[in-house]
Amino acid sequence: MDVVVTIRQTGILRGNPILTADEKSVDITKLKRHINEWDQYALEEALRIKERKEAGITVVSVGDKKTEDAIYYCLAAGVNEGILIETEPSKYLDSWQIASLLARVVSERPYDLVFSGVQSEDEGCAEVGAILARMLDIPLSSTVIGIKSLIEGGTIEIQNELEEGFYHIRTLELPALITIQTGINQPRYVSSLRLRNTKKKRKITKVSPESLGINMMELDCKKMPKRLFIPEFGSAKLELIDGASSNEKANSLLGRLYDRGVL
Amino acid sequence: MCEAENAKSEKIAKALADVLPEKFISINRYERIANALHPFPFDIEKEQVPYAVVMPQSAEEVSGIMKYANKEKIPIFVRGSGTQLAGSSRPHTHGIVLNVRNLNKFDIFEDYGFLECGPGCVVAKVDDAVAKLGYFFPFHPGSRIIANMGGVVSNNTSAHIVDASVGKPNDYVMGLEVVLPNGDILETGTKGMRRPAGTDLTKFFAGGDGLLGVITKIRIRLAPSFKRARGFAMFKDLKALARGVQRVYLEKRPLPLMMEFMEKEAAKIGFDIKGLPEPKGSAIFFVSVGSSEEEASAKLNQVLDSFKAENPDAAYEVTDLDEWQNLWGAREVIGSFLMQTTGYQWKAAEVVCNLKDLVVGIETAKNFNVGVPIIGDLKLYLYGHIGALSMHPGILIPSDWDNEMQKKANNEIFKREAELNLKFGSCGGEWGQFSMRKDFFVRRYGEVGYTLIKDIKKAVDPDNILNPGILEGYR
Amino acid sequence: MEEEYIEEIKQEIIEATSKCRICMSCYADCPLQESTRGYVTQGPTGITKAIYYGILWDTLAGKDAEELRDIVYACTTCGACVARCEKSACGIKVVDVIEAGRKLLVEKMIGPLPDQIKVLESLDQEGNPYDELADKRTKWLESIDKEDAKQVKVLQDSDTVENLLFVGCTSSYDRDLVNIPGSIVKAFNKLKIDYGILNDEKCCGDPALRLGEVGLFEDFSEQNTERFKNVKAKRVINICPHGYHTFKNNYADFPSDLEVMHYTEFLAQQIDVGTLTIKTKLNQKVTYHDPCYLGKRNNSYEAPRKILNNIAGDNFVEMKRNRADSLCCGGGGGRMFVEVEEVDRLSETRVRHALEAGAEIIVTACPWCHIQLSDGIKTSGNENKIIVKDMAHLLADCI
Repeated sequence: MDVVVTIRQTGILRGNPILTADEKSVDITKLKRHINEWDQYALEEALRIKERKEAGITVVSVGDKKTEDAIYYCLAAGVNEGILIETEPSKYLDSWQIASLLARVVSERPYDLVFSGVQSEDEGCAEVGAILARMLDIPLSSTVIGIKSLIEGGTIEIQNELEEGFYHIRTLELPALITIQTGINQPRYVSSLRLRNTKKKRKITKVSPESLGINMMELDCKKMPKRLFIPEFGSAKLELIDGASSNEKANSLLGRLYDRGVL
Repeated sequence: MCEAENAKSEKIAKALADVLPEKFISINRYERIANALHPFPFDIEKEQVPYAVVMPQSAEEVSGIMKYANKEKIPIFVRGSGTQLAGSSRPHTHGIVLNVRNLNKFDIFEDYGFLECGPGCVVAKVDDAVAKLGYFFPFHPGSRIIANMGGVVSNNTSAHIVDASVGKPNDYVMGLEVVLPNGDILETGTKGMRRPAGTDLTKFFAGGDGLLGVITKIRIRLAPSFKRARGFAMFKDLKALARGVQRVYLEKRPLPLMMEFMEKEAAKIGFDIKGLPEPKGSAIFFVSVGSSEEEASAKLNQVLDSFKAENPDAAYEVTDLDEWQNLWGAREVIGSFLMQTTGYQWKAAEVVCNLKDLVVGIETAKNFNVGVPIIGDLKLYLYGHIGALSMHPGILIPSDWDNEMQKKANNEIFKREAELNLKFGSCGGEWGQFSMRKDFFVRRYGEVGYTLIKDIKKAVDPDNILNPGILEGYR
Repeated sequence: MEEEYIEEIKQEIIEATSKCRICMSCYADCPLQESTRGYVTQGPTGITKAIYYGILWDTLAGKDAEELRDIVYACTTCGACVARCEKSACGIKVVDVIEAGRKLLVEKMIGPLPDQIKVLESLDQEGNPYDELADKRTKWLESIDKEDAKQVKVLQDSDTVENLLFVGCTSSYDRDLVNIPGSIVKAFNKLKIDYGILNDEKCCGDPALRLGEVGLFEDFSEQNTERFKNVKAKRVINICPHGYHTFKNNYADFPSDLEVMHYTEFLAQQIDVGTLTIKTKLNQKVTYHDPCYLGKRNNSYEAPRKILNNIAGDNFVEMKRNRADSLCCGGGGGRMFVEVEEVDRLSETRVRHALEAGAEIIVTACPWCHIQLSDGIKTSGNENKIIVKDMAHLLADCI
């Protein structure tokens, strides 16, 4: 069984991040980085399939040179092969561009399943998985919270999470792409020593867009952000509602909600 | 491990959730392993890992567990802290371990003159509580900081206390609450100060080696505490030391509460650590008791008179408490010192002599491992509760010996111990009569004796559900 | 076949545990015994042998491994077992074995406990276990007395000072504990001590080490050692006993001419030489809870008592379990960051001990003990009977 996991390395957003000069994205070169949270769950889910049955896992990512760290992390965690599609640092790429690059790599190898995280922490578009599935012309299910069964050469049965604790169970024919929701599992921890060892012993495959037959000048960005900015913190006021009794406080609160037209 | 085992564990946990709270049932693999451990140095076998560990809080819960076990034919192995030295704490086969530590409440009823405690009480906790109130009870195993009351009562273990002076622990046990192998709950004994004449069912379980029932409550008489006097003697000649002890008995001296000895080589180590001057011979130190300090001292001096008749290098009352702490401490540190400096493991046997043959006995104990296979060349140190005519030849066993060698060494120690105890017509007074001692029991009491106990066991526990393996002998 | 370095950890553990006679003496002193969790785990022997059998029978995968993880991470690393084994048995450094077991589990990607993973990530990214920003570490200075804050030297690289006050992560970031460093700074200012704090202080690395993330710990050890070498202080004074212990015992290249003291030891010394006199006495009953990493693990019992005796005199009452026999609050060994399921919380049991001793105030000298005990007071419903204070609080008011 061959599983491909697409991951994104994101900057760890803390405090007030610094923006790129063109104000279109957060300047990732100034931040510490990690694997996008959703993709961590996707990676773990793939590793668990490998533990249960014979499977080869390949991780693919689009990113700059520092994204190698993320791929080494995946290798340390137990993945068989890691591929980096290396692009310019700080160049904004939208979901279409990313999916196009990924599709080139994924379509050139045998695969039964493709995992991606539902969305990324820094963009939050939740599009790459869907676009990639369309480009590969394979069935898709998003926001998967569980895999109930997996039959090689056959089908995958997945759970989608609904409200109120309900699930929807669906079956897809393989090969298929599913986007993984957080909470599906508990991602393992890869230690500093393990990572160090892996960097010494393993190799990453690096490819350029050109080697994939893609001219980045011609690969259009379909959805360019207008402008990114850090909002000013307003003068929001905090009022503690007082009163002699719970009833009085409740009435006071009700009054205010009516006044503001909330009720 | 295997799927079948996991499935069985889950089935048992589910069923027993009707008997006791789920938080007191564990099927965590490693907690199950932990409850199969005991003081033998070789590895447990996979077949000895229990399916589940349960910690009942009452006789009713124990009863429910026994009923379930009988219905499903699953063995029950009862354990406290697992410190028994003849192997009784290690489960013989797969089964359920019943850990008694939740049965750990105790109450002191001064107006009744007794205390009641659960089997899972730590001995030192109960001992310290009664001592604070001015009472005494002869429950004093070397492992008292962690050993449980249930084990002391099941084994009737004397350790430091000289039987002939104040009796054995179970002489103070007035009654028990027991759960029989079929789940029936039984109360035995009395609440009165006069113990039963004739059949006292207590005796089937107190000192019962865990064969016939699970003890869930113990009633113990509160004896008044006493004043102590302490004495010390040193003998160049070990045989003279033995003769001195014989005299104490033969000359009808008031027997001390405790009387310990250290053979010269052992004494050298202990004394050196405690900053005492190098001993010229073997040391003997003891505690005499009385209702006043004068009485204790007078009794002590009678004992000293017996020693003095054998030309000791020294024989005197120890009045300096610091000196006494050092002497007592010297005996306690020997084992740990040797283990820490050599990296070896310390294993002692329990050789018990009769009064007449004590001189031969002590010499024999000193040469315990001479000519014995496997352990013959190992270093030996001799010390023990000489006041009870009991000796612990202790051997240092290399830690890097593999499981097979460790087992063989263990077997040889118990075998030699059996030979000596047979020779002296005695038997162990600290570690129970079966498990590793089952061969001794059969040789000592013959097939007649062994068949008798087997028949009793079969009558009370027909499906051999409770602690199987102890009676059959260590595997 | 495992990596070589993982096989080495396994060997190390097997060798250390092979000396164990399973006498169970360590179980007698293990704080887990105070909760029923300990009964079933059978104390330190149970934990170390669990690791041993996991290695021996190669059951370190899947659900089995998680079960082992849950036991191994229940230990608070208080060190009571180490003292007991040295006293009564073969002298195995039990906590080291348990930490090696944790290292094995981490390297095999089984450990630590899920809630502890973000602690390690936070340490790696921001140099503290609380997910707080590294550049906000000295912000606590803004919350204390302005006059006191002004006198605190914030040391840049290569600044020199006699006493380097190592504030520690908890005292720096915990909003409720800001008056611990505040009180120490007040006391130091009053005594005109020459001291400073680092401008770029990072965690001592203790949580990483206790959780088994040895590689991450080594990063902290190296970085901090380097920083100390640049500052050239005579002495490091720790607020937190975990930092104190880690500098004293776990840093491979700690400068040999740099003294490490806990602030109570330093202030007790000031009492000895007469520079510190207590002016006002406390007339409430106080007791002292010995932090394990100051007491049991480093035998430092008397310095805090000297201070407290001076402050409280006859109003200082000892708990029945004190000094080497003190009961762990349950916060060490990574347990600060998770809720370990147990019947009878250690912190509540310890609060009960304090109440039994007749105390109205429990004084301690460790920020984690402080948090644990303060939680224990709340969860046991004793808020109107007893409070927790750090030694520094009491001291600052009395000099």
